[in-house]
Amino acid sequence: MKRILAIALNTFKETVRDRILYGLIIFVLLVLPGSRLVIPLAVGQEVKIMKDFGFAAITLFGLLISVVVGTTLVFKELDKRTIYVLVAKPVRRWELLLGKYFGLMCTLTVSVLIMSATLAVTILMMGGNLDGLLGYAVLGIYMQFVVITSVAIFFSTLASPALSAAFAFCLFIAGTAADQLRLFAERMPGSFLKMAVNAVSYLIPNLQNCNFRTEAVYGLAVPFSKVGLMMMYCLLYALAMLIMGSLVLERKDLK
Amino acid sequence: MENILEIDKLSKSFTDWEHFTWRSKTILDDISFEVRPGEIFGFLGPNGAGKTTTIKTLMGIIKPSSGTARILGHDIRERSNRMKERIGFLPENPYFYDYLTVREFLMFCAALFGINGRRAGHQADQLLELVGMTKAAKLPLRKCSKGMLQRTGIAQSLINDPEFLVWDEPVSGLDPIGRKEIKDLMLELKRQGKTIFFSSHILPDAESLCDRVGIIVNGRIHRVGALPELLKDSVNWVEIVAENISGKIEVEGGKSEEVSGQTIVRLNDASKVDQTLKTLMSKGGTIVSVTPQRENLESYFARQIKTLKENQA
Repeated sequence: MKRILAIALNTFKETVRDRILYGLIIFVLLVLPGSRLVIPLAVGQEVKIMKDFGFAAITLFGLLISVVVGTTLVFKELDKRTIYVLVAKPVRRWELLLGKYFGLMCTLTVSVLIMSATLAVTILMMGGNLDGLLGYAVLGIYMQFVVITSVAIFFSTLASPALSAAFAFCLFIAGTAADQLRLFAERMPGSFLKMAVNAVSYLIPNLQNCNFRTEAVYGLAVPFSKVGLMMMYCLLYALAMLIMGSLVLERKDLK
Repeated sequence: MENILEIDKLSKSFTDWEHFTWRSKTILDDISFEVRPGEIFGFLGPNGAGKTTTIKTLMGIIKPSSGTARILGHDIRERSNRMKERIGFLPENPYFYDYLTVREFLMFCAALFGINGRRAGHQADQLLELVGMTKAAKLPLRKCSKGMLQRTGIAQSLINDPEFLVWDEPVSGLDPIGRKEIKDLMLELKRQGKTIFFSSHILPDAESLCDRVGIIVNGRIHRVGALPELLKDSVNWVEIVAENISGKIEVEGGKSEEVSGQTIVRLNDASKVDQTLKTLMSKGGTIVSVTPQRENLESYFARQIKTLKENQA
């Protein structure tokens, strides 16, 4: 556990000292309050539109960090051969992968907190109220990052960063339409096709489970059990991805 | 006492996709040798001979295709943490996390061994002093020269006070003073009872340091042994210096000359030494010295490689 923590802290330092990350966060900090001026707002709907816009901004920038950094973390270790020093020390390869994952999740946690706080302040400045639903919506977005970061890290053990990023983005997009894919499967002609599309829809992460944005914008109630199940699903999916990534890394020659 | 490292018929092949076919390339071919406790073992070979591949295999960076190797009694395939806790490894041309400072990097390495806080800081500072990097402790690694990175690499390999050191080209990238400092450090570490296995292509350095060497060429171990043992058959000529001999003398199997009142005999045939000494003494001469002129490691190495290439051709 101490070794995972040491690698996670080192990864956190790496991402924090990376200027791209600062650029992203500064951009979001400017975009959220600035959007008040540029979006043509319907009278009485300002807060709702700001919430919607804010969630989209957090998702987009968090996704960029998760995929761009997630797909390069392991690749950089291999490319710059820093991994040689690590694997010769009492560090298991799965500990390395887990350390990298937790380090990046630490960065994402801080980023989401900063972006959410900025959104909350912007909403308050617009005369809106903060409620628990806003928290659920942000938690849902964060849990999407929990899944997509694990997917990005898994792909990075197999392919180049560009390819891994493309796969991870595709999986994110497919994941946000997983329910539609299941509906599509039911309408497919032939039992084999139906079964194949259905199987794919269950293999990709169902990120629609994490979407509480509509509820947060329109003030609709969300049962806590739904949030709990969503969290459990995301954690299990991420765990499966990390186990698969560890198995790949374990068998890999680190040339 | 048990050997520190035992390699038995270790092989490594890579398969690459080339010209639309899968081609297998053998990098290590049935190599076997051992490293004994407390010795400095030099692993020598030309570029591309398989030195780094051997070291990567031993360190668990790549998997062997066949054969076995045991370090401190542990099979390398197990990648045992108990084994790794007793090893210090320096990779070839080390490159470290460039966003960390030299001291931060050492602290990070210490944390991987479960050494934290004040103890880690103390250990890092001691090692920085040992490798002459105290003034560069707060320097980001991206600003370090190749020599500084090499010294940092050596420091990180010692952070856990290991019994067995595996260093890949430890003196490459260092200036002559730096090389001497690292050689002195290796001798000091040996004095402390540590076993050192290092690869090098700088043969004079290896010659002055090693108890034994292994020579690898084209993925095969060519010779293993103590230097005097390897070089014993490589006496080029014997020089005999004598005094009080007047006039020139004829020597069978060599030639003689007079320099500053001394007679210097150069024998190309070492078996003629006794006979020549008798001749010199029979002429009333006093023997000052008899020195066999051996080939040094560098020329021995070059000769062996040349012979191997000729045989392969």
